[in-house]
Amino acid sequence: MTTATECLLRMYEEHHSLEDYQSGVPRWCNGCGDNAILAAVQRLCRDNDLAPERTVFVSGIGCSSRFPHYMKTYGFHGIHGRALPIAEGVKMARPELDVFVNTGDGDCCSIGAAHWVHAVRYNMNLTLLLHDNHVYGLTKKQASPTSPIGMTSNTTPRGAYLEALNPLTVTLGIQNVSFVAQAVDWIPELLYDIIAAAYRHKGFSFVRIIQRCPEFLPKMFDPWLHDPNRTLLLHHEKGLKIGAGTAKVYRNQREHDPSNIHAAREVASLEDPIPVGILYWNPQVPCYEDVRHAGQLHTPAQVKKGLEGELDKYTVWPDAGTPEARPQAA
Amino acid sequence: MDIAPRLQQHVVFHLTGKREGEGIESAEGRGLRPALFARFGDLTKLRYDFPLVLAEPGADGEWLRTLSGVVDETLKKVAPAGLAGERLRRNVLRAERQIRSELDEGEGGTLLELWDEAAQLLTARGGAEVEADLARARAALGVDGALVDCDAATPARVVTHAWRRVQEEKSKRARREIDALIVRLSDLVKGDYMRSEAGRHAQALKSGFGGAHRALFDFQKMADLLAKPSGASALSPARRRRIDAALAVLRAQRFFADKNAHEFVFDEARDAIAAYKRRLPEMAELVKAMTVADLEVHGRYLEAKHDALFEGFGPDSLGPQDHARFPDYLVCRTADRGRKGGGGAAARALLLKVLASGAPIKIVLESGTLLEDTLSGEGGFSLGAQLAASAMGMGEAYVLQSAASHLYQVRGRVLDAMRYAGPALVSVYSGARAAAAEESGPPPYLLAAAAMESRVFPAFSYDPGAGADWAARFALEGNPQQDADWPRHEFAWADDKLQRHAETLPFTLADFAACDARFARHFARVPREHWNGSMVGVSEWLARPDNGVPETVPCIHAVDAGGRLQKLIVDEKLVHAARLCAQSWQRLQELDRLKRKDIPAAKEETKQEIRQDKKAKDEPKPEPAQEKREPGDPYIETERCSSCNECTNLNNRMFAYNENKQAYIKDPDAGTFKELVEAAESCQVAVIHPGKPRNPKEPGLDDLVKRAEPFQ
Repeated sequence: MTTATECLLRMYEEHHSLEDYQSGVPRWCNGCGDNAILAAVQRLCRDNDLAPERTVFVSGIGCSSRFPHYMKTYGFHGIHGRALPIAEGVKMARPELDVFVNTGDGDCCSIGAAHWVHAVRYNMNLTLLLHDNHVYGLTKKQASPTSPIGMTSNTTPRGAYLEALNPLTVTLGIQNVSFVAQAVDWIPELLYDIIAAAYRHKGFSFVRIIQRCPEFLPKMFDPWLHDPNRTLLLHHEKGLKIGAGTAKVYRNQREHDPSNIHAAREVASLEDPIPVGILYWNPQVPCYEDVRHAGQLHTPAQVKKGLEGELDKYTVWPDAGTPEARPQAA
Repeated sequence: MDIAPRLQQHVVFHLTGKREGEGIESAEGRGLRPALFARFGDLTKLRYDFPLVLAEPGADGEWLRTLSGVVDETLKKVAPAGLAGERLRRNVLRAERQIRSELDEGEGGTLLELWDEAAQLLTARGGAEVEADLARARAALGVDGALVDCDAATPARVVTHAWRRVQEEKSKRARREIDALIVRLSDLVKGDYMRSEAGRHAQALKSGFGGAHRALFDFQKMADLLAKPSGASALSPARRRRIDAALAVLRAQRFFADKNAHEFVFDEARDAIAAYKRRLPEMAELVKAMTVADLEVHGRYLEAKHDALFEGFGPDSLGPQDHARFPDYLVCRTADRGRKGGGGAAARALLLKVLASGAPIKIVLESGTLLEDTLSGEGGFSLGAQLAASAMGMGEAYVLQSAASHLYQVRGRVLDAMRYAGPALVSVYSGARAAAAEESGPPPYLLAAAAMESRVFPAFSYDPGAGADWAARFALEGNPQQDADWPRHEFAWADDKLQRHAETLPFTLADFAACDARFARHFARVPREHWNGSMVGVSEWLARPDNGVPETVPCIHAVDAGGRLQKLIVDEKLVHAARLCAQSWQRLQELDRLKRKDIPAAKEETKQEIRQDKKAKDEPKPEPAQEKREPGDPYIETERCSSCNECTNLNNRMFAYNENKQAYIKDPDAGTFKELVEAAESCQVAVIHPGKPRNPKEPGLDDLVKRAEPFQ
């Protein structure tokens, strides 16, 4: 039953189209997987009618981190590796906003690794999209933490020496992990479904999206693109349900219960075939912003007092040493 | 011995209440109680659910604890397992027993207060070791709150505690919302002032600047600069009026205020409903102000649409969700006749009227008496015994019935009743009046437990918010041996030769009545030498076929003050009450069985719908419909397009994105076959199929057709 009050509040209802979320022409290369992620996210915003003024995309540095520029919402193109602390601050102060984080394999898994670990533990209600193309593309091909062993790049001309870091197993090993999924940019239907499930989850949703970099690693994922059996689709009544069209092409499927963390860790360790779907989902983990009572009301008097306190620390007083020259504290 | 004359005497008593002959004696004044009570003597020496601790809000969120539970948890924390912790355990358990005794003697207070008193007493007896043990345990208690024993005040105290907890949650939520709206509306007003001429006046600018550097600025110059229109529009007079009006209402509201707040606890239901009705316009004003404020702070107030609706907004516009945000009204009263506010027909009518009204009024009905003294006239059962069952028929009121002895077990339901958005009745039998009437009678806790055992006052709940049908709404839970007509317990006794006898005794309404001296005249004691086979248990007697002149008489087992077994014949009035009680219990059982059955036949249609719905959910999503195309036409598997811009950048007249930003062939003739082939080759996910060339004159077709082959 709709009450008069609800009816009044709903009278100003907005319905958005995809164009309402599009901002500028992406500067990414032709064929870049970022475009697929952008399209999926814009669809998500439209389908959920997210109010642009209540939606924030926060990023660090890298190709992927140009994402907020192409969304007609609030955005914060931050500094390298620091997307998560900024996003956490936004969420803490304004828990009613929908906050997304776009980060790359360098931004998240290298310079921002400490923030990543603690963001999983905080379990704030954010949706993180890890655009993982295995390479630093913005700076023209250097090896990243997820570059496979032997990959040649400008920093590893004789091939990468180390085993690649697996963002899924790392995330699944951290306390309070609540949502981990993997998508690939070349199956758009599942990419959308996974991002939508991540958005719906209340807590920190970690979505690793394996994406192609046609400019610097054009052949990297060809074996998987050419052989659908090398992609393992995870489905479950609590997880993803796969559409008939996709199921026909990708026949390698497995029923995986996302509430089973041990099974999730096992699946996460697979490298070939690439698992695609929701690996782990636990809606019971408390969110840090709820535990810490985020969104407490800041009255103008409190804000003024806080600001003055901070500014006073740096003020050069004309009559230094004479306390009477200073204004009385509020 | 001649049995027939004895039976005759017994039958006469059973039917008429007349005691004649030597085989039958009065049961009055002998301190008789049901045989199954023989095991229970001094409750202060037992560990059971009472006293309860009305826990102050703490980290664990538990609002009601038992003293034994608190002590057990404390011991788990502080007393090491095995012998090492033995002394500490004993001392703490002694303190627990001492607290029970203090409460029994009429002392009151919080857990910590009574703990300290007990500790002082035990320390005086036991010395420094006891003092240290009890101090250590006290520090680990982790909870404090008033201690409540089982008496007439218990239902009101426990339910009021739950009510208060729920109101605090509600109030906190509402206050947060209202305060946020006030701040944000004030921001709008302040912004408006800063954009106004007055706000940009030199004097105003000066007053907003820090004292130390004021002299360095020319505020007049600044005012001149700011005098030019900045482009930001000021609030329209109508919007300003709306904001001011909303602010005034939000600031003056008395529903969630620290000071001058409305009173929500009443002694009488009629006062509560009058207050509720009187405050309806004020509630509507507040809801209206909050809604206007919400729209204003988000810039979503559309005068053309909203004005007319807000103008007509009044008490009638309030919906259940609106009511649910406001505090509930609490009425604590007794159902017993003769006590203040006690229950007659008028009280019953009023209470049912309130429960049917939909008003958010929570009624705590305490009963000390379940059976009327006369067992006649008004049907034998008191208002308290009957009201909850009647109230379930109201449909939209939450109903909870439980004896005080089981309040701890149904604490979740008590909280649910307080949280329920609508009227609620919590009917509790405290056992307190009958206990007071007979000094030596069983304590209220035992009587309350006996009322549940005997099915006179079974525990059940009816939650209209739990679903649409009885199966979802009704719950019969917490009653002993719920599948049986009467609960049965093992009973063992020794005869004159100290031979052990054991039998299983049911606990019936007659046993419950035997706890109360007021009903002694409905029983007749049969001396042991006159016991015979025609004396059968009440439950057996009720189950026998009724064929005219009785050949047996119903009786119960009792014990006297000295612990000697007695048999009491029960008169027809009391047996009739037991019959009614059993029937009423069977009706509740029937309702409860609805829950256990599969979805009933009447719901078959719904069941089908559910199945279909589930099937639809489980089935894989259908394949998107393919566009009609002729053989040889180029096409894109649109749903697999990864939106990478390759093809659209190649020719955006031929390739375009759909509403999901996935590519399709908009116009195959808007480009060349070469472009189609190149697009197919560069497509990362290989979803472009170039088809056959459409222009046979296009140069280099042979080569292109060959290149297109892998993509067909």
